[in-house]
Amino acid sequence: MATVIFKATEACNAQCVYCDVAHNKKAIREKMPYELLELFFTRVNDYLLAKSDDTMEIIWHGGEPLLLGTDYFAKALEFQQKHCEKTAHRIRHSVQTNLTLFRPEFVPVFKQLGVTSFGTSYDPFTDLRGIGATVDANLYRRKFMESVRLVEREGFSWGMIYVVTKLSLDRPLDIFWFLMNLNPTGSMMFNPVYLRDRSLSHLDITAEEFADFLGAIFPAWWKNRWRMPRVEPFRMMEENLRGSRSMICCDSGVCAKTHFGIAPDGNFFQCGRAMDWGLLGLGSIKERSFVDVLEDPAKAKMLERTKLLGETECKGCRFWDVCHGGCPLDGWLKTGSLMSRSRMCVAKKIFLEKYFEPAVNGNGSQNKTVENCRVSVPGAPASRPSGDADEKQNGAIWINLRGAAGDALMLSGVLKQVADRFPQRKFNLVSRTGLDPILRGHPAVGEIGNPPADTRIMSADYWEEPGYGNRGAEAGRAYQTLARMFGLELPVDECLWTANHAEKDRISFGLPWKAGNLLVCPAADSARKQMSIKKWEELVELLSGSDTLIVQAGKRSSPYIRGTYSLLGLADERELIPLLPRFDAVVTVDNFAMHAAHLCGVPAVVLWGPTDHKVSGYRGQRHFQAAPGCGLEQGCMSSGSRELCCVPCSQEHDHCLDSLNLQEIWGAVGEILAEKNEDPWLGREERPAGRRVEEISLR
Amino acid sequence: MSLRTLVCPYEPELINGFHEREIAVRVDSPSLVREAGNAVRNSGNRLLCVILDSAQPVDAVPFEDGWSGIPILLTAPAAGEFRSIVHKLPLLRSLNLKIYLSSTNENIRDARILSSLGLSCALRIEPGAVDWEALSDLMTYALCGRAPHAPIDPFDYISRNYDSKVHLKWGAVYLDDPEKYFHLDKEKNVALSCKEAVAGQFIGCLDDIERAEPEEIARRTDAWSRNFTGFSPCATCEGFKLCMGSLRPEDEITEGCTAFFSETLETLEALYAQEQRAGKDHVWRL
Repeated sequence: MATVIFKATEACNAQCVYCDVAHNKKAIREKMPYELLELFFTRVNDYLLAKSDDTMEIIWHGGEPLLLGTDYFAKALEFQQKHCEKTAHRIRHSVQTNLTLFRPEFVPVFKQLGVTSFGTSYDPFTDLRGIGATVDANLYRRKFMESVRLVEREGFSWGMIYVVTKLSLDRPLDIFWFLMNLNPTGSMMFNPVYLRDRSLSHLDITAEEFADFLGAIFPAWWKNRWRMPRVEPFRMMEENLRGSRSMICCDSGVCAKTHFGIAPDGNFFQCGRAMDWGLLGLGSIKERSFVDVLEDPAKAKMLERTKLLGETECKGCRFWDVCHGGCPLDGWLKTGSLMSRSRMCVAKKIFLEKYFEPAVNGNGSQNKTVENCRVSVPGAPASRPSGDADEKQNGAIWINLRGAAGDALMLSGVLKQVADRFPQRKFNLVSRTGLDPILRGHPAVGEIGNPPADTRIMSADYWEEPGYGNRGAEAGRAYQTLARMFGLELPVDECLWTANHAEKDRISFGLPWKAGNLLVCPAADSARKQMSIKKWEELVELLSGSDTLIVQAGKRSSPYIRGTYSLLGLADERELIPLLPRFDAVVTVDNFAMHAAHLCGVPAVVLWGPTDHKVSGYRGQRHFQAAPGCGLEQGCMSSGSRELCCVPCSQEHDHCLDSLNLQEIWGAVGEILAEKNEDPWLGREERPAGRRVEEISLR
Repeated sequence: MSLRTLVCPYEPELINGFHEREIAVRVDSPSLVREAGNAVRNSGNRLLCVILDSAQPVDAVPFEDGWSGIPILLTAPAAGEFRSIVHKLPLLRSLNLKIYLSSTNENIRDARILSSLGLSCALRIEPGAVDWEALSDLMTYALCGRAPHAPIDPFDYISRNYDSKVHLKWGAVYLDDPEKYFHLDKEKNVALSCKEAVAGQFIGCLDDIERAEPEEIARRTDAWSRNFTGFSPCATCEGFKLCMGSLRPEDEITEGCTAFFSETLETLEALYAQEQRAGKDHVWRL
């Protein structure tokens, strides 16, 4: 989505001490003339016609946009209706306002424009913001509260930014609860104050102070996150570390691709902040189209910054995914160069390591994890690496494992082969919630935790490796690619391994075992790899019989498949592994159970859709590969389009996995069961012969 | 403006002057309960309930078979002797009755017993010396107790109406909600709460108010927002979403109420999460 920060005025009815517009430049007091406003909507339309799959968000910014008055917004609506007849449905409006001027008269025009939410800010401290020349804080607060009530009554959503200043540092929790109790219906964001005016240095905060401020309120949010989920940057950090990709412009690393700002005189800038600081001008709306601006060489240079930082200042940083060097203007503030990383980078790092990870990793049990490793792994380092040069040079390599539990199991297999061949080699593992248990106690893994600062970290993202996914090429298979990354000579035997393999099975005694026992595991980390519940239920109905027990395993939140015996939420990955050998067969998709079945030598019938069984499946398993019907030849989760894995399939009822023939799957399962001494399906009518599906040829 | 439910004294002339309104009629004598209920029903209005303001404890109230079918809100100073309540239990259980008590320590204990006997009750929580820990225990019993028991308000109301995304007002439990109830005297003067009606604090005449709603009502409804014009103990309290500053203690020492409302919020969240999981985490299913 393209986003334009649209400042039709820079005048404001309020004064906030840290406001960039008021302090750092001569604000343009006049409104953008109607001719330019009309030209703006012409440009919007041109852009959306040129980019038929894009949308445009117009953020009315300022100054105070409500100073423009209702007539101005009515005029904007008129121009939009006149010039954007065919594209209006792809335009979104939102308003960033102090709300003190919001009156019922604005409601109809905003609703017609399609405004659904307001962004605002507020501060419980006096002396920071107020109305008029007298900076009347009480009037500001009264008007703000009145407007909030009106906004809510009229059904708009509203979110808030809180600017953290020196004053905030003494009362982080009071501020947190104050803002939460205001109950914004949208998101709530904590931002550090950015001051270019040195006379205000008494309000300035350091990166460390900001991190500690966030750290002081994080436990309260974490504990109550279910009832106040949209508090930033916490929610985004949590989601990003869990593999999602939602980021504000500053952290996306690609803001230049999507954002630009327009001043009241029609001049383009890189963004709103750049406009306030008079930096990164990109010409005038009178001469340039939006496409032109977004493709400006200066913008391309900003994109190069991301690449450059990834290779230099930020190289090896394990938080690169959630930061990308931060806001370029922030870097400029510190160093004078737009190509340097944000000064708030330190704040992110401190906050994540000191506060976020210990809480997210469970009751601050990070030390316990490390301690466990010390006890259970012979030869593991006696203490956490101190970070001095010698130790770093001679110590274990840190691995940053991302992905899902199946990837952890593959890594475990590869590391076992490394350990068998090179017993002296040791690795530490960057702690990842949910993946740690699989590698706990691994002979090649010393420590699971957080690496010291400036440690070089090895990625285990095999899907990013050149050559990965090449159909037909053995070296392109996932396991082989991972083995290559760890220096093993290809091809290797694809032997999975886990230290927990021999763990005691504590579940199977309670199951009502029958002559034939099947395990079904329909859920996967990506919705795209799943078959619909309806199809699973049809399949279970086919597989059911008086002599057959069908057990479903998965997370507690996974949908239940009718007709199965549910173990949802009762057996995690470590518990599933000892349980698996009790089953005659596993019917699954591309998920942990597929890998675990291979590990345990249990026959598996695996259903494949967007991922390729020739890349990720194992020999000996029976694979049913659906052909993608969505026009993406390589499937939607090939190496070129992995970002789609977090997004549900858009094909709905035509989702490739739902096209699989259930009768054939039934047949394949039947063959596996028939190979047992006693065929539980013997005598049942019309079991189709299983189609022998292509197997992978491995050496 | 939405038509409010009217809380009026039992004055036949006053009641007959309304048409198709919802009315809660207030009496101070048990002998008037049936008469007042019938009077409202026969006047072409809807009966919300008969409010019996009893000066006697519950055990001393002469309940009658003839009250069945009439919703009764009984306010009493105390429960009284359970020995005598037990003898009346079959009758009490057959009535559409809710017993309102103040939140003294004794009443907090008795509310639990009444509830366990199957009698619906409510505690009036007001600013002042409340034993918050005892109230917290009662809340846990009301919301999480596995033993069968009748609802205890305001906990029952709060749990049925809780939504983490909005402020929850629960004055309606006591008919004290200016957006839903007007309290009238016999001259049709309007007060915004029961207490104000008793104290004669009226904001105007019903006809005038229903013609043009005075600002006082919006001010009262939005009173919670006055806590946010600076740091106040209530604005920075974890439990604000439930209390909304309505119980702000005069001495501004909020440890007790903060702990109580925070615990209530946590309990509600746990119950909500349980409800969300319902149907998803059955342990064994065949």
